[in-house]
Amino acid sequence: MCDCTRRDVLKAALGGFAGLSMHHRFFSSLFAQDAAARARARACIVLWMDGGPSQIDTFDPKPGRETGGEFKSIPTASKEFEICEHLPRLAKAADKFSIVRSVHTEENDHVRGAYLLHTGYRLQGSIDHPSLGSMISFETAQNPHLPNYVSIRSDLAFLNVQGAGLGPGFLGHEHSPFVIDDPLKPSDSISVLDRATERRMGLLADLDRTFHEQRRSADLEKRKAQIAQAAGLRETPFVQALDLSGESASTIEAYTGGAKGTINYFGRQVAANQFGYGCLVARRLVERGVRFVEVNLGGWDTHANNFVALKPLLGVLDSGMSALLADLDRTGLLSSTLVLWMGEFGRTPVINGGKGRDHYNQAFSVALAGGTIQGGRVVGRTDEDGKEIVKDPVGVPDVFATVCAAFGIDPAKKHFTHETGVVKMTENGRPIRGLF
Amino acid sequence: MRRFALALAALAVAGRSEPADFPSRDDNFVDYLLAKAWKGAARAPLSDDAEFLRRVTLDVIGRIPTVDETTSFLADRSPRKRDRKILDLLTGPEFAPFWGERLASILLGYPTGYFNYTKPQLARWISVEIRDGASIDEMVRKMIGIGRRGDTAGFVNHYLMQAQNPQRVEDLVGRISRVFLGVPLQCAQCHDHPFDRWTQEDFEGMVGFFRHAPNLYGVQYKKKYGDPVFLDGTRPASGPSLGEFAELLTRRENPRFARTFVNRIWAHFFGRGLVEPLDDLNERNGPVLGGVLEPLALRFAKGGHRFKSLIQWIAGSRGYQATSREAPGVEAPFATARVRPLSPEQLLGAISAATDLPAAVAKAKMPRQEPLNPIQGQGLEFVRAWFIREITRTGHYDATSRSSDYTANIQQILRLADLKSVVYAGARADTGGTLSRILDRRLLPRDAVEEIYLAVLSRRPSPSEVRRCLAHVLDRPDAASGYEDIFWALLNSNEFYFNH
Repeated sequence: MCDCTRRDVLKAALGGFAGLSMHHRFFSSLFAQDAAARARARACIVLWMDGGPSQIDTFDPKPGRETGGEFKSIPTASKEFEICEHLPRLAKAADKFSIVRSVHTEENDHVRGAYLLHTGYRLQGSIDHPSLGSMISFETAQNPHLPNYVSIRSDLAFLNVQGAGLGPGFLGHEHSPFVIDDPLKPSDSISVLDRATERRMGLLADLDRTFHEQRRSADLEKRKAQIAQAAGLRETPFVQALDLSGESASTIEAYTGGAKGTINYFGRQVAANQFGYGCLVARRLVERGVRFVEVNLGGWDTHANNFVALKPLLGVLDSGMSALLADLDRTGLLSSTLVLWMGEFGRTPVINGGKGRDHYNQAFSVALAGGTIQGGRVVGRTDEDGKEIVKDPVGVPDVFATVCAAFGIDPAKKHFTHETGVVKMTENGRPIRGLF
Repeated sequence: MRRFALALAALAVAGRSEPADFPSRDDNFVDYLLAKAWKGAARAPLSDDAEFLRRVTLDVIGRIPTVDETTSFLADRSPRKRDRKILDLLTGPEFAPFWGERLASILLGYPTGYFNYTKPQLARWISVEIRDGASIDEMVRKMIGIGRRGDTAGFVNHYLMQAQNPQRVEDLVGRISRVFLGVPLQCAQCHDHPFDRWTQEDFEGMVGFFRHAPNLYGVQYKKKYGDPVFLDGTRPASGPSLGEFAELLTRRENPRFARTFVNRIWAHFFGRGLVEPLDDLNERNGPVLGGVLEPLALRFAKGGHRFKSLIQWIAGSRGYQATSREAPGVEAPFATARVRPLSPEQLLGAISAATDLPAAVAKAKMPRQEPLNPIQGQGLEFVRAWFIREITRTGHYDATSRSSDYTANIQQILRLADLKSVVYAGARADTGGTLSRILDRRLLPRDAVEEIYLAVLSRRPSPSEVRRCLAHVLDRPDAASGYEDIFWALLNSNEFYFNH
């Protein structure tokens, strides 16, 4: 129960408006003094495994147990962990990323889980929490000419931006995601910016002039500025980032693993090479100063025939993620780019009658790389069947606080919103110490 | 020039009894309250006819007026034409469907995900109730009291269907208290509300009414149900039931119900609630202009919660009909009409009316669309659903809590700029919509420009606007593309995108 007094709330309000941050005791004592040294992340890429990826069939294998299923585990470049045999490239790159095997939540439903893992808060109906991407966009220096937060989603029909917590919440529209629907043709999202549109926008500015002169409205100014910004987008590096024509066939092959065919994404067929392309676009965006990119890979909701469905999907993940890590490492960007692999929850250790795995929120895995995160480590442990956490449980707020710490943002920073008084950056999250 | 336009506007409404500085209660109740609240502060002049017609058509039926509607209204010399227009809009066929959608958006938000199929159902149900003249309290009793009535069309069912499984009783109670009582009670779920007197005990009392809901809907509640106690301390006569709850919610002794609803409708028409946010009418959060909301809500409740009467009072008021043009020295709240973005439904209605989308879609060879799960339908129905989805994904629309600040991102600018988009079928020179019909008439260039202005901005262009447009057409290798540019520019203008 919150025992905030009126004065606390007002103080927080003042702090929020003045852009000051209030330090959580834990953060100040443990992290503040060397926050600057640690805060090397300038960008973040989230690889979002839509549908809820099976932790046992990816980063927390249980070989030899009934719950372990059909896949074997293989050794990796890290002495600390093995992973699924169908992730051989990631196994070789295991020195670059770490695994948290002890994440747990209270959400077992797709949208509620997605909301939690996107915002760090449970869906409450009243408070509209900002997504991690919007928070990073809000906190990092603004490049006025670039969208700071880009979401590469092959399919938005199931999860809409607001419902799944991908939106800006109370941080405001300028921090909402720029959505790229088709990573194979990312330029489509700005193809409207041709000569004809440029010509028309010039005419538009003239014809709106009298209307603007006669009225006073901040909203009119905002939209007018956005139209000007859109018109200028053609001249920005954003456009170059979306132009894949300079990428060689071998690069594309590395990212997509030559994946062909489609994957089943909540009943729809989605091209299997979309994720690889998405990772490539993410790299190109981050190279040009975009702060936050989410790349979506669907198909993890494997209630039936888990192992048949996962085999190709793991291949898609393996090539996309490993190529991304390798490229970021090669160009030196990995030290300033956080990569986060996660979905809305994990899947049951117990294999159901249809050879599937159902939703599981008691113990699942998240993987992290880049920035000041050390590679090759494991945090937390599940029991031999993967049913329960036996060491170092980690909540979603802790994952968010870890991202904050990597950026040098105080995870206890308070925002004031009218509806709710004070909302903290994370809900009492503490950075995961074993990762730094 | 502007002075002249105002003089013309004044002429056009000559004979309409321009309310005196201090109108009486019987003249227009809203004006009476506003005049008292403003205490003689300056107010903006009356809107001109074109300004009024566009605004009131958007606000009452969700679209801009057609060219015919605009020209005949401008030509009409009768003194009470504004009142008659309001009545026509209220009794026309478009009123109920528009408000069905609008109220469904207030109730459910914009769920464009997997479960959104329930929203059109709820919108249709509300629109039938409104068409048949149900009062608001009666309608809400039907919506909420479903457990008793066994009805399947109401809010509780729809909320639970569109919300996520496992659904929690807390969310439902939180939603109902926000929507109908202006109390963000769910904050008291975890802590006592910092600004008000709501406590966790209040919340538990409200949840108590929903004891039987789990059986009906399969919702979950982890704690033990307490005794049902309504927010005002009233205990139900006959135990926990949704029917009891609905009675206590809508009865006259609970002034919050009418106050919250009237504030929402006020926000719709004035672009800003008397109290903001719309779902938090707490003691600390007083109205921006005192002395208006309570008497208006009381009168609304006393008169039997009649929706159309409320709209008539508001839209018929001199206050609502003020111009949005900045006037020197006018600072009082609501003394100048607020410029506010169109809601997604209004934007669609406006584009559809401007371009004659139905005709264009009927004529165009529409490619068979891949069904956008869960958006079903083909042709016009598909285009509408697709458009609402695109708009709500590129902007942040919260009809429940906030009125209308501009909340879109740059991507919406790009989407709306795409003339190839299916929603602009009627804005292209070569389809069966408005523009192709204007071009087919082979008008003089200045007349064609005027027709485009009437179709898109619901007014005639100024001489300088005509000159600018004609210069643009002359500059193009083919006139058709020049007119297409003009049509596009007006559709994307702020003057079109906002209500004002």
